[in-house]
Amino acid sequence: MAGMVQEEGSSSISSSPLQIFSLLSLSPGLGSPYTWLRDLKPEDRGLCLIQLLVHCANHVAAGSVENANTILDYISHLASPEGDTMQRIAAYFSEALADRMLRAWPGLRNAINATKISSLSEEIFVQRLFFELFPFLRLSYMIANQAIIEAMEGEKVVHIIDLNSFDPAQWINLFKDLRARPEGPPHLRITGIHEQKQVLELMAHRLLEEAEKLDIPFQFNPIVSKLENLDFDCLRVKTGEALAISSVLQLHSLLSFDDERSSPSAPKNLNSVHLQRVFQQVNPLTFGDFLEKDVVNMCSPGTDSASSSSPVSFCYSQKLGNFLNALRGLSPKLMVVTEQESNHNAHSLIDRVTEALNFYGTLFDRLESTVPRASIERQKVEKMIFGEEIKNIIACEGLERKVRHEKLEKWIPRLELAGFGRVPLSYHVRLQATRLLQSCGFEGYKLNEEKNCLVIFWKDKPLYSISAWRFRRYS
Amino acid sequence: MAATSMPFFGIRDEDQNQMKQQQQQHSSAPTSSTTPTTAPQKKRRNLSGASNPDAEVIALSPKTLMATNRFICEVCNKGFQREQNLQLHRRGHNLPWKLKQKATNKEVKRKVYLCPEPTCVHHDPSRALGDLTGIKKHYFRKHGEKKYKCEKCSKRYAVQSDWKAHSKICGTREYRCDCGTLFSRRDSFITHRAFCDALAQESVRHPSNLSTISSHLYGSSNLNPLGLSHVGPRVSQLQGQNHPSASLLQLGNAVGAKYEHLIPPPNPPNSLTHHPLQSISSHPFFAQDSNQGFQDQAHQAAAANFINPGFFSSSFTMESATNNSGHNHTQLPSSAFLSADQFNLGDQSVSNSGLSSLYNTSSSQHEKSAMPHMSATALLQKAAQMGSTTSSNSATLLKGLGGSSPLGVKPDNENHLQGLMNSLANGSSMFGSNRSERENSYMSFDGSLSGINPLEQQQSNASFGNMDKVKLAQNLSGSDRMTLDFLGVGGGMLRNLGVKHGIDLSSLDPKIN
Repeated sequence: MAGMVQEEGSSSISSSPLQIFSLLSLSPGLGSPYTWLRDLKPEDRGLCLIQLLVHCANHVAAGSVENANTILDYISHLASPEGDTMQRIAAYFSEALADRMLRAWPGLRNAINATKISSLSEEIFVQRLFFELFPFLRLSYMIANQAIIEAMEGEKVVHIIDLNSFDPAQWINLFKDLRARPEGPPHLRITGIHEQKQVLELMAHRLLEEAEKLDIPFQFNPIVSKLENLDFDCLRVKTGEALAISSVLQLHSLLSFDDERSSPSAPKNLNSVHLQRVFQQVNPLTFGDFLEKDVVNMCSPGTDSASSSSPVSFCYSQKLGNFLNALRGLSPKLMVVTEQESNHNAHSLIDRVTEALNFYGTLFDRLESTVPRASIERQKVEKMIFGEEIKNIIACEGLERKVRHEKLEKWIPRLELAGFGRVPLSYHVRLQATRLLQSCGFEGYKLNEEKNCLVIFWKDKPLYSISAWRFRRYS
Repeated sequence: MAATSMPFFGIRDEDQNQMKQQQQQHSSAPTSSTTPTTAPQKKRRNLSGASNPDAEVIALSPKTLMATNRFICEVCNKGFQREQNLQLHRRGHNLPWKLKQKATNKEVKRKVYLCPEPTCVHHDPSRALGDLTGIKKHYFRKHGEKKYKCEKCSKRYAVQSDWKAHSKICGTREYRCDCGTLFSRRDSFITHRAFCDALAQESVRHPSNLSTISSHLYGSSNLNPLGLSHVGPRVSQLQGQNHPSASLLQLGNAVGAKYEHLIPPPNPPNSLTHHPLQSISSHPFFAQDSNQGFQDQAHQAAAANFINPGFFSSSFTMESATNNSGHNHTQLPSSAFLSADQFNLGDQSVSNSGLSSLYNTSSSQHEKSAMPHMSATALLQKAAQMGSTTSSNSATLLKGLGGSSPLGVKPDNENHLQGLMNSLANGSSMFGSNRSERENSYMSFDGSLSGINPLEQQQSNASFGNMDKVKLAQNLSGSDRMTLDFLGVGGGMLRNLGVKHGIDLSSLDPKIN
C-alpha cells in the first residue's frame, strides 16, 4: 500500500472528476458547478459517467449512503435517457442503484412504486420491438425450428413445450416448415406456459388460425403458471411422444434463490434428500462422472464463483436442478436453450455492475448505431426491456432477483448434470443462421460455434447463446 | 434424409424423365424402376448440331447427376463410384463379374450431356456439354445447394473441389487497404485505393492532428464564453510546433496564476529539458497572466479544461513519464490542481496510443452517424485501461475493510478504485475475499452509517478550521498528496463539497487526524 501511495501518477484519472467538482466548489462567483458539466465533450462525459457509476456502486455496496447520494447527484446532471449511449446507460444504471438503496426502506420503495401501471399491450409492443431491432429472437426461433425439424424427422406426433409462450411468430414459422416436409406435417401439439392468461389466449387464437390456414392438425394447450411452480403433470406428456422443449431466456430465472434463508448448495445439502433424489434419477454411470467432476466444484454462495480457481465451477441451484430433472423425466428428444451470454449472477454487486456495463453497453451501442436517438421505440426497448433487466440485476437480491444471466460455461455443466447431452447443430442450421445475420439490417453480428453451441457476437462481444440438448440415454 | 426418401426421388425422377420425354418427344420408355440399384439413365439417341454431329446426347436426371455412388451392389447395397470397383466387389459375393475393358477396337461413340434443369442453357441439345464430370460440376454449381463454406471468408461452394481450391488460396494473397478492406485481387485493390477515403484522410490527419486538438480545446464553446478565445490563435501556433499537452500545462499554470504566491517563476525545472514544455514556459502565454480579465476567468476556464486534460492526459504522451512527475509538482505546485500525476501517468502502454488513438477511434467509429464519439464499449475499455495501467497489481492492494477507522477506509477505497478499473477491463472479480466482507447487503445501510457518524462529527469540526484555500493548496502540493487518488485528495475536497451541500463526507478523508 505504501508503494502505491508513493507511486506517481497512480489512478489519478479517476480522481479528476471529483477533484474538479471540489475545486469548483472552492472558487467563488461560480454559479452552479454543474453548468460547465454540460459543456463536457461526449467522450469525457462518458468516461466521467463510467467512473461515477463504478464509485457509486462501490459506495452502495459498502452501504455509504451519503457518498452514493452525492455521486448519484452528479450522475443525474450528466445522464439522460435521451442522450448518447453512455448517458442512457448511466441513466438506467443510476436508477437501478438508487432502487437498490431504496430497498433498505421498503415503505419508501413501495410508495414510490405505488402508481406503476403495467399494460399488456405495451409489453407486447415492446417485445415486438425487441424482436425487430435485434436478431437474437429471430435466430433463436429459426435455429430451434430447424433443430426441431431435423430431430422430428419421421415422427408422426410432435409435442412442443414452450417455456415462455409469448410470441406466435416462432411457431408460425415452424408450421410453414413442417408443412414443407416431404412426408407432410405431423400431428402437432404445443403446450404454452405463461403467467398471464391473456397472453396465452392470444397465442392460442393466433396459432389455431394459422394452423387452419396451413391445414396442419394442431392443438394448443395453455398453462397459466410461473415457471418455478410448474406442475409437470399438467403438461400431459404422453409416453413415447416426440417431445421438444423450447426455452428462450427462461432458465436463468430459475437460478434465483432465497439467500437469506438457505444457501443453494452448501455442502450440507449433499446429504439432503433432494440431492439424493437427483442422484437416483441419474444413471450410475453419470453418478460416477459427477463424483469425478469433483463435488468441490459446487461452491457455496459465500465465495464468488468468478474468483474460484476452476473456470467451470458453478453454484448448484436446487430449483433449477429440480426443474431440469423434471424436464429430463419427460424424455425430450430435443431441448433448445437460448440464454444471454454474460455473467450477471455474481455474488458481489460490483462484479455484476461491471459485467452488466459491458453487456448492456454493447446492446446500447448497437441501438445507437442503427436507430436514431429521437426514436421513441428505441427508448422503449431501452427502458422497458434493458432498463428492467438492469434494475433487477442491480437492485434486487434473493428470490426477487430473477435476472441471473450466466455464461455457457456454467450452463453446460448444469444441463449435463441433469442428464442432458449436447446436440451439435448441423451445418445447415449454421448456414441459415449466418445468412440471416448477413441479411440487411444486421451488420456487425457474427456467429461462432463454441463447444457445440452457437454464440452470437456483436463487434466481438458475445451476447446470446443458443444450444440444443437431448435426453441422454444409457444403454 | 436422402436414403429414406429415395423412393420418392426415384418416382420423381420418373416424372421428370417422363416430362422431359414429352417435351422432347422422346420415344424410348423410362428404363429405371423405382429402386436405384442401377443408375437410371435416359438415353436419347438424338443428334446435336454442335461440334460433333454424331455425338450421342445423354440426358441424365438430377438424381443421377448428384449421385455419388452410381454403382450399387445388388447384394449388400454398397455404393461405388466406378463400375470397375463394383465388379471387383462382386467377386466377394461370388457373383458373376466382368471387368469391362476400354473398347479400343471399335470407335467409341462420342457422348454429350444435357443439363436436366429446363431453364438452363445447357438443357438444349445444341448446347450440350461434352464431359460427364463437367456436367456434374455444372449442375452442382448452378443448380445445387452450396454446402461447402470457406472457413476464413464467407464464400460458399457447391462443388467440393472448388471449395478446396479456394481454401488453399483464401487469405494467402491479400492486399489490405489502409481503410481496412481486404482484397484478394490486385486489380480491385488498386482501383479501390484510388478512390479510398481513408487514404485521403490519412494524408490530412497527421499534420493537422494537433490543430484539431487545439480547436477542440480552445475553439470549443467551453472557452469562448470564458473569454479565452484570444488565447486560441497563440496556442494553436504553439500546437503546430509543440506537444499539445504542453499547452494544457500552461492552462494549469494559468490556474496557478490565481495563486501566484505559490508559484515560483515559471521556469521549467531541468528535468523537463528534453520536454517541449521547456520552450513554452516563457511563452507569451504567461504574459497574458497580467491580463486581468483573463485571470478572473482563468480559473473557470482552467477548471473547465481540467476535465479535458484530466481525460486526455492518459492519452497524451509525455516522452518522459515518471521522471517529470517528481519534479513537476514541486516546481509547479499550481499544477497540483491538475495533479501532475495526471500528466505523468507512467502508463507507457497508453502513451503510444496518445492523441491519435483518441481521434482515430472517434473518426473511425463508423457506426456513429452523429458527431464522432466513442461507443459505450470503447469508453468502458478506455476507462478500464486508464485504471488498470496505472495500478501495478491490484492483488497486492487487497486489504480488508479495517474496522471503522478512517485510515482503514482509505486504502481500501483506493484498492477498490484500482480494482474497479481493472475489473472493468477484465470483467472478473479481483476482490473475491474482500467482497464478502465488504459486501454488506443493502440491509445494513443503517448500521454502517451510524457507526461512522460519531467520527464524522469530530472530523468535520477539525476540517473546517483548515479550509483555507492557501492551506488547501499547500496541502495539495505535498508530494505524497499528489499521488493520492481522489479519495485521498478529494476526500478533503469532498468534505468541502459535502459541507457546501450539507452532506458530511469527511468519513472518506484519511488525513483527518
